[in-house]
Amino acid sequence: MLLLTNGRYAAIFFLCVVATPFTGAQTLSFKLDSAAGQGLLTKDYWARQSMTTEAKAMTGYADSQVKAKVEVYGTDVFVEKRQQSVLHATQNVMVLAANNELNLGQLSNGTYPLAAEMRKFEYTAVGVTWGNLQSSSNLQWSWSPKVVKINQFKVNQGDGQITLASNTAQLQANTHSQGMQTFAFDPYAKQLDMGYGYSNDASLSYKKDDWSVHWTGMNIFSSIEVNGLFFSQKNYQVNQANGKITSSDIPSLTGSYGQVKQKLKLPVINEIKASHAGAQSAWRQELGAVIILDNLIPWAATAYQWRDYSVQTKTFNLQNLRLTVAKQNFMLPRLSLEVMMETAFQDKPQAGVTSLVYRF
Amino acid sequence: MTMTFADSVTIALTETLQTWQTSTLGINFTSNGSTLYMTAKGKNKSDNTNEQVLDGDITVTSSGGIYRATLREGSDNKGAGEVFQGNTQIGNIEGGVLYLRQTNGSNGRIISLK
Repeated sequence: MLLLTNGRYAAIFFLCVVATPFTGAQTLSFKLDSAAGQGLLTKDYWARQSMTTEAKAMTGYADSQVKAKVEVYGTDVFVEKRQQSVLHATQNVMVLAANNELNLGQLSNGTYPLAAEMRKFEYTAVGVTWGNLQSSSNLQWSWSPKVVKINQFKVNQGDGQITLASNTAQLQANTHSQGMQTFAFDPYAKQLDMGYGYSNDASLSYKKDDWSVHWTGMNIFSSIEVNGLFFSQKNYQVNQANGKITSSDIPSLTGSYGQVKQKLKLPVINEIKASHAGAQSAWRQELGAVIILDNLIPWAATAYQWRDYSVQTKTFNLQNLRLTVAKQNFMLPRLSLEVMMETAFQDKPQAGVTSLVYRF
Repeated sequence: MTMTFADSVTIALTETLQTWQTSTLGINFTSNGSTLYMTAKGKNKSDNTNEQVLDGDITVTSSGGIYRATLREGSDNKGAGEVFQGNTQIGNIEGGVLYLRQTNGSNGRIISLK
């Protein structure tokens, strides 16, 4: 287990594996995958949106990974460092989070719903992949169990509402946070012990003629025991009249905090898709959905392949548009690069490298 | 000056002039034989005026002498301070919110001052 204590051990492990004579194909990769069911996952975008009395919500995720993979006796063995975040929040929470200050006096009377769940984990893992992804079978599968050591995590949940009426305002909300550091004054804090755990990724696909269906599941079964996890629970009951907080029997804010022993689960990210690609055609059309925190982000994509280049356009929920360009043998043989540009049809787009893979 | 309410709760306000510019201020709440003492130093806002402003912390002490708290205005213009049980700090006040962590290992408590 020392292997997972930090990145240096993981690198030493990989170099040792590379040096062994019974290894096959090896891969070093960096990948960044993300999706947003509305707009973009940027502060700029949400700072320009408005508070609403509708229960509009957005779902999104980001998954970045640095991975070293080597084939040993026909089985893929890998070491990866990964950061995965999933988020589901009402539009009001996103707007409040993106603005340092928001003048409630500018809003019309009504009830503004607040609800959010955010889970962010960074971990190092060692695992193996079994399956038949290299075969020509119509039915392909893979299963990747892995031992996980969490480096960082943060979990936040909350729900409530802001109610505005003539000369009065009310905030009712409950929040629950978990993290690695104490949330308040605590001279008796015990050492945090994050321990080791496990997780499983898997995939299944079936192909018939020009059609195929595909399922990918990340962290479908995971458990990591954390001893001394810090938590904070807060209940807000803030009443304001004529610009002043009014007193009531219940204080504006009550709650508790401390430490607890708990088994954490890594964020589950499921994706299903159906693809159509003619045998002689360079075009591919895809329809799919990402499922996060019991919420669906539907998407549609079209891709075109030309020599070493691949171009894809993709939209999530018809709320944004992403253009991805990939190039095989980029500068070096067996080095591939993928870059993307994404827009929500307003404000500035975002762009970046989403994949860099070297096979040797 | 002492105010006595119908339920025998009393509030006593005291001011002791220390110098021409400074004084000691006190508010004592007494209920069922227990008293909560709030003391602070005051000073003239400027020369030749009678308006006084706080000079340093407000100290809150119970009649049993077990608990003691200090209060001041924090850099965010909200309440800040510390809470002691004997000589042991068991809590603090940040942003107008009191955080208490008992020595018995039970969960901490969060209570806003408003």
